This record gives sequence, structure tokens and C-alpha cells, in this order.
Amino acid sequence: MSLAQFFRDNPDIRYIMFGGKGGLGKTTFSAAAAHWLAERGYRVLVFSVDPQASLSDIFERDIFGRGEVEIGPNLYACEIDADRRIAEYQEEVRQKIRDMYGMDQIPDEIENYIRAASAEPAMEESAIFDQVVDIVVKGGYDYYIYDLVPLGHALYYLSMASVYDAWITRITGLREEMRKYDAVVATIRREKETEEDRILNELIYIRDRINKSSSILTDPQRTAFFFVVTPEEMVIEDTIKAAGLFSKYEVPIRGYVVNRVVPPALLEQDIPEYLRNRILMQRGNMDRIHREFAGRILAQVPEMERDIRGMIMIDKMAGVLFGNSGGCLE
Amino acid sequence: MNTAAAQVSFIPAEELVRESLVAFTRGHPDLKYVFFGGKGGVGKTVMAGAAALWYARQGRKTLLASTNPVHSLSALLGQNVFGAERQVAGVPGFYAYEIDTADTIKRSKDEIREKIRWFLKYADIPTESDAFVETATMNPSFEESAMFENMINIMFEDKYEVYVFDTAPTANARRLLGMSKVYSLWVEKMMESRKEAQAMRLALSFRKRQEKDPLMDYLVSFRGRIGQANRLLTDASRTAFYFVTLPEALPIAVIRRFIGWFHDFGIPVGGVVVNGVIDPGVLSASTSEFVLNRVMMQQEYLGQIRELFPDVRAVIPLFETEVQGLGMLERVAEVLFR
Repeated sequence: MSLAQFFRDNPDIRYIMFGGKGGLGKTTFSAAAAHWLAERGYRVLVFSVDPQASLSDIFERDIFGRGEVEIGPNLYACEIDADRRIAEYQEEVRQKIRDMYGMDQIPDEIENYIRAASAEPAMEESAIFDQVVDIVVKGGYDYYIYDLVPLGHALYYLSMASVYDAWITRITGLREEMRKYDAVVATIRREKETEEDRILNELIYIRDRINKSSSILTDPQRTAFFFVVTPEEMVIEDTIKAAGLFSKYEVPIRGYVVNRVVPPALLEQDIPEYLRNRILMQRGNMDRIHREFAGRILAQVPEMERDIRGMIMIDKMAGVLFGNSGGCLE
Repeated sequence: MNTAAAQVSFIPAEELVRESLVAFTRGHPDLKYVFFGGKGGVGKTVMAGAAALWYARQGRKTLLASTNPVHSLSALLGQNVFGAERQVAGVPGFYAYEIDTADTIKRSKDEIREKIRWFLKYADIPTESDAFVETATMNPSFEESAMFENMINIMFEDKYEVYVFDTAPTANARRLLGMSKVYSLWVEKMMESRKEAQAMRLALSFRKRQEKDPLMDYLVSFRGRIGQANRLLTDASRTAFYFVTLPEALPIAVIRRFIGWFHDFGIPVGGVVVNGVIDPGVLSASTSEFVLNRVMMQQEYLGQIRELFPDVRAVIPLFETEVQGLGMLERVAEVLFR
């Protein structure tokens, strides 16, 4: 089956992810898939959840932290600026404090605390995660393409959903227990909504958002996860390992895309030793790939003459990735 | 040579490398903590392996450690170095270690459980500690903190003369190091509130006698460790962070951003290593178009690298085979420290 065929056969798929080790071509394929779908009349958003995103570089447009930027007809791209998101969040907290206590200025003591809290290590991930939830919950696109972080850290994102969920469930449990006592106090004071209620509601709201986004990640009806692999021994090993881990999180792995295959026909030409060796090495590894991922290889992409950058190259890549016979989805 | 190829002037390595890695290393004789960062797939693990091998060959006891969640040191060295510091067969003084994330996390969890129990007991709080432990260790940042702690522990044990870290492939390296700053802030905060609590306890106590506070002791020692880590990691005479790139747009863009961030954090940047360069000497009149085009692309980006990075330390050629095993690493080390 080809990638084009996959999209034709699975019209309900809305969320597309390319995963794999660093440097294999995840961003390139995300951009190419987004472009290909947009050309077929679908409204597509490709966004990066990687703090060191490369979408700006590949589209040759500075989109970092600028929200959903229109790249071309039907094609939108977004690179999340975690730092800015954190700054906005800090400001929100300050505003709440000002409103609550009628202050003009935040005391130094509290300001330091806000700063320390925002520098907490998971803050950046949380900020990005939160924005991803925003984007997905808001809707408005036919396809969402996640340009994922490298393997290990993608796992981290996936596990984070379940970790957050468990964490909040735990806290919510404690809060609910406390509410019992609080309700008594509230009855005495004849208050309708207690302070605990408000906190609890906030927590439930957060948990619902997380559930929504993690349910997307594991929904085989709407989500397709593709692994990018290259014919190199270490990459194949890592991919098999990672695929096992991803399965544990019930990520619907729908296929594999093989990238950077050096055309064997080059053996006939005058090429340097490194390339000759590479082709021979790849030959054995390609056999292994076909054995390991039999029946699930959706595309095989050759090593290009130069790096992919700019719409002309992205268009060329889309042609190769989806096969020039791709045609319409309908 | 092809006509197209004849029209470009090739950039010799000497023109990119103004001060070599060897010269830089000589100029920093106390260098002890060496890191390699960059986009995924640029060859960070290979460079870290080659650098560690070189240091060991210089007669310095060296540890090559990976904090990457998906390790590749064992594959690189052709021997299992997972979960424990092991001597690399055939190279005296060369040790390697893939840190076991699951194990690290388990140990940190146990430690925290112990501390919380101890604290609850000390504070006379008659509660089951498990709920607290769960809440503390399920926090999403816990894993990252645990790995960072592990790295610091290895550094503090001080069993080696040189440490080469093959770090995680993303921006986490920056945060990993930046975290030492954050930790200090947190601990300061906790110590303050602990002092207040202590004062309160003293004020309310009948005996008016200062008691020993194990939690405070812990915080003080923790602050000491963090301060020490911070000093080590920002000390340009002892620490260097090298950035690896290929002559391609995306990896160049990534390390440009990295270097900017590192300067902001005051983390010492040791320079840039350019990897995977095809020797233009291979070109001849009959060279395949495919190769010619790649060489031309690389030359274009080498020009960019010359403009952007005045601190290129080495240019590594694309070898005729994959770098795997000590023999190949030896060759990389030779060029890296040429």
C-alpha cells in the first residue's frame, strides 16, 4: 500500500504524526504531507511540538511564536514559542493576584515565587502541551500534522498525558475529600460556591483537556502514526525498540516510511568509495527492513541530491513520498 | 573535472578552522567536562565517543556517559555498557556508561519516599506517606530531575579525569544545565520557609531549645551540591559544550539557536564541529551528477558556516563506511584532534 492509498482508505483520519530518531526526516515528511493534503483541497495545519523546531527553516518563513501562519492555499504552519506561553501564563497569575487582593504591584516575595515556579523543568513541555491541546480543541482544520520530537522525548510526551492524568486524579481525590469539610463550613456561612469548589472545577477542567488530547493520541479511528526509518543498522534497532514502547501506550502505528535510500543504480556510475559502501551496506539493511516491517512499508524515499528546503523542494518531496500517481483522495 | 564543479572554489578546512580542537584543548588544560550537542542525526554520539577515546589515549582516565533516553553507546562501541560503568575492552583508562533511566527513577523515588517518611515522622504528622510520595514522584518533571541528579552524582564522585557526555538530542541539554540555576532558586525558597517553620516551632515550644532539623540539614547539603554543579557547569576552564553540525541548512539553524541560548545561560561554548563533509578531491570529469550536486550543496553551506561560526574546531570528512567500533572511532578521533 502507498501513503496516498492509505489516506484514500482512511478518510476519518484527522491527526497525523511522523516519529523516529533525530535527523531522519520527520520535519521534511510533515511538511511534504501537509503540502500534499493542502493541494488536494483540505485545510491543513502542521505544527511543531519540538522546542527546537525546524518548520521555519524548512518553509523558509519565520513562523516561530507567530501562531497559525498561512504558508499557502489551505496550508498553515505553527511553531509554538514555549517561553512566550510561559510569560503569558505568569502575567495571568499576576493579574489574578492583583484582582484578588486589589494590589497595584506584585510584592517582590511573590514575584520571585512566580519566577521560580515558571523556571520549573517541566514548564516548557507543559506549555507546549497546553498549546497543542488548545489548537486541537479549537478545531477548524481537516488535518493536523504533528511534527514530533525525537523518539525518546516523544515517548515522554505520550507518557506525560497519562502521568498528568494520574496526578490530577490523585489531587482531585484529595480535594474532593477536603470539600466534604469545606461544604460544612460553607453551609454554616451560607456560601454557595466554596473556594474548594473553584479549585476542583479548575482541576477537572484541566483533566478533561488532557484526556481529550491523550485520547486523540491513541484513537485508531482518527490518528495515524508513521515511523520514519533509514536503512542503517542502529536506526532499525532503535525503531524496533521504540515501536514496542509506543505500542504499550497504544499509539496506533499505521506504517513505516523508509528514507534516505541511496539509488542502487548509482553503482553503475563513477561514485566515490563512501557512496559505493553505503549502497552495499543499505542493501543488507533494506532486506532487514522488509523482513521486520513486512506489509507495513508505505513509501520508500531516495536520498536526495540536496537538503529539502523551500516550497519547490517540498513539492518535489511530496511527489516522491506519495508517489506521483497519488491523485485525488476522493 | 565537470565544468560546473570547476566554477566553484572549494573551501579548504583550514579556512574554517581558525583554532583547532587540539589547540583549544591545550589552551584549556583543566577541561574536564565535555558535552556534545546538536540536531538529531548529526553524529553527536560518534564525536563524543571519539573525543573520549582520544582523552583515554592521552593517558587520562575517561568516562563516556550517555543520558539519552534512547542509548546508542553500546552499538557504537560494539560492547554492552548499559546500566553500569564498564571498561571499554582494549583501551586502558576508557570507561563507558549508558545510564539506566528506569533504574535512576526507581532509586530517586525510593530516596524521596524515605525523606518524606522521615519528614512526616519528624513533624509528628500521623499520615500514611504513600499519597505524598505518589504526588511528588508522578510530577512530570520528576524524570528529568532524576536524570540530572544522576549526571551530577557521576561528576561529583570524581573517579575520572575527564567526563564526556553524549547528551539528549533536543534542547534539553540547555535545560538540563539551566536547571541547576532553577534548583538553587527552589531550595532557597524551601529553606526560607523551613526557617520560618523552625522559628515558629521554637516559639511555640515549651523547652525553648533548638532541635536538630534533619530536613534543614538535607536542604543545606542539597544547596551545596547544586551550587557546586552550577559552578562546574559554568566554569569555562573546566567545561566545554561543543556543537556538531552537518553542512546542511537545518542542522546549522539548530546550532545557531543553541549557541545563542547557551550564551544567555552563561554556559561555556567550546566551538563547532562540522561533520560529514565530502572531500571535493573525489570529483573528476566522470563523477556522477548525484555526487557532484551534493558536493556543491555542501560547499554552499560551508560558506555559510564560515560566515556564521568563527569558532569551528574541526571538519570531519564523510568516511567510506559507517562509524562503528573502535577502529573507526580511532580514525574519527585522529581528524577531530588533528
